[in-house]
Amino acid sequence: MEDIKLYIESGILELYVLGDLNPAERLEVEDMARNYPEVQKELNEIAATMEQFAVENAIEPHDNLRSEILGQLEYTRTNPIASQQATTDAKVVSLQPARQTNFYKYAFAASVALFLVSLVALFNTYNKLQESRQQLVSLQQQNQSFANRVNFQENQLNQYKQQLSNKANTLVPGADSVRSSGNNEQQLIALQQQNQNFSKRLALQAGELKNSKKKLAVLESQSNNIVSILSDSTSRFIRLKGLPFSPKSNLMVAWNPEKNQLWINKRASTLPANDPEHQYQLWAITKLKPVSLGVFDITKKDSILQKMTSVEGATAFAVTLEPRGGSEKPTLKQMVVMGIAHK
Amino acid sequence: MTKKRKISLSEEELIVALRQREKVAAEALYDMYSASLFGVIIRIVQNNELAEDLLQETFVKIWNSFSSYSPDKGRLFTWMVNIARNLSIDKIRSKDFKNQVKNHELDLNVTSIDASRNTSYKPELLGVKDLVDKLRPEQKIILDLVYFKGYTHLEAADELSIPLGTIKTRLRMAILQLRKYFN
Repeated sequence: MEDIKLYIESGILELYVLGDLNPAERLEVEDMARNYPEVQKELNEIAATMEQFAVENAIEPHDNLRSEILGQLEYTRTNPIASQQATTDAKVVSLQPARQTNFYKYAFAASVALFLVSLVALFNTYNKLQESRQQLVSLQQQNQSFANRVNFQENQLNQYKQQLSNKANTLVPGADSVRSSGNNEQQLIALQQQNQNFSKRLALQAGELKNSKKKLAVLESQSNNIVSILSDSTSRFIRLKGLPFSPKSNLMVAWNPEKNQLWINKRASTLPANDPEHQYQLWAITKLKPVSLGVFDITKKDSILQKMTSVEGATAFAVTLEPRGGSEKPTLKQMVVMGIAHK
Repeated sequence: MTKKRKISLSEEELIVALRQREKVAAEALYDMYSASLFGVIIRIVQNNELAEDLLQETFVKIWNSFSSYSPDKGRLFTWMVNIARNLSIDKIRSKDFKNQVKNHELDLNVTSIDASRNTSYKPELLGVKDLVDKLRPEQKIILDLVYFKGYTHLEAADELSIPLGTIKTRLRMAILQLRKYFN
């Protein structure tokens, strides 16, 4: 390396460009240029400088000299139209076809490039749309199954109620016969106990029903949030991609800086399940500093989305594997996925 | 002066056309490079008529020996300007030229030739003359000797009684200075 620098600085490349070397030295320079790109680059720059120097010092020769000199040259192929017109008005004619083909060539290349770029953009948008649709469908399915469960619980409750009233009915005629038959008293006690048991079970079912309703409400509000985040044009969807620590992992982050909401899609993620000692921690990079957005688990029975802390002005998001509860600073060598929060 | 339209091609297009010896290639070659080459030639020979002859010789030689040019050995212009310089330097070193200018001390200063010619100058030329004047005197002398007077670096070292290495580094410094200016 040092030798190459000295070689360049010796001034031999300048002499090569000026044609002031013997054949052996020329071959040596050409050999060096072939083997060392920096030598080739230096040669190019010297040659460009000397050409520029000549251009800046150019002196226009006499106008007549052009046809005189061009007349001295032998041509194998002559464009009859161009040469004919060249005698009358040499300079104007042959330029136009050349320029036009150039223009169309570039215009065509530019439109092809533009077409390709828009094709890629279209494809990306389509993929994103597809992803959002899938998320919506699975959410709707979850909603449905919860509604089914609630219905089922309600039916069961009704059945219990009916059973209870049946028992109560059988209890009333039984009361009449208490006076006539003494062992009916025992029956009554057993029935009362049964009644009590049923009431307890009913209360339990009611509690369960309440819980289910709560869960449903949470899910519904989540679902509403998701629908709003998906249909909001200010939302961004960032795919965090796998890093060497876990190359096959990925994670989608839906981020709406306007509404200050941030979700991760755990079901679509390919992050491996974490063990009980560890948790994944989501980070945002803002102003070159990592900010923790919370921890999450990946298990087999994950819900689809998990809400995380949102943040302003994130330039990137990343996930690291940290001890359970998260860390103050990201453990960089355990970074699993990362993505740029481009607009 | 009437503004004329000139043919201009990219260097690659020009090289392809030159290999096929098409007339349009000769026209483009002339329009693109004649002024640059003429500027170099006339500064070497210091004589308008002789420079026109040499420009013609240069173009004939470029045209006829184009098959020996190979783009991977360097820029087209580098190859052409060295043909022009070699023909011009051979001329001023030939016997009949020396007889012609016998007793007349050649002044090869770049600015003097510009002063003696006041036709068809490009206005932007002034900036470059200033630039050449801005080179350090020892850099300017070497550029003059090697580029316009056709001295080899060995002859220049001899002429100026300076070690060969110093000649080379000064020439490099001069060209670096130009490079800085053009960038």
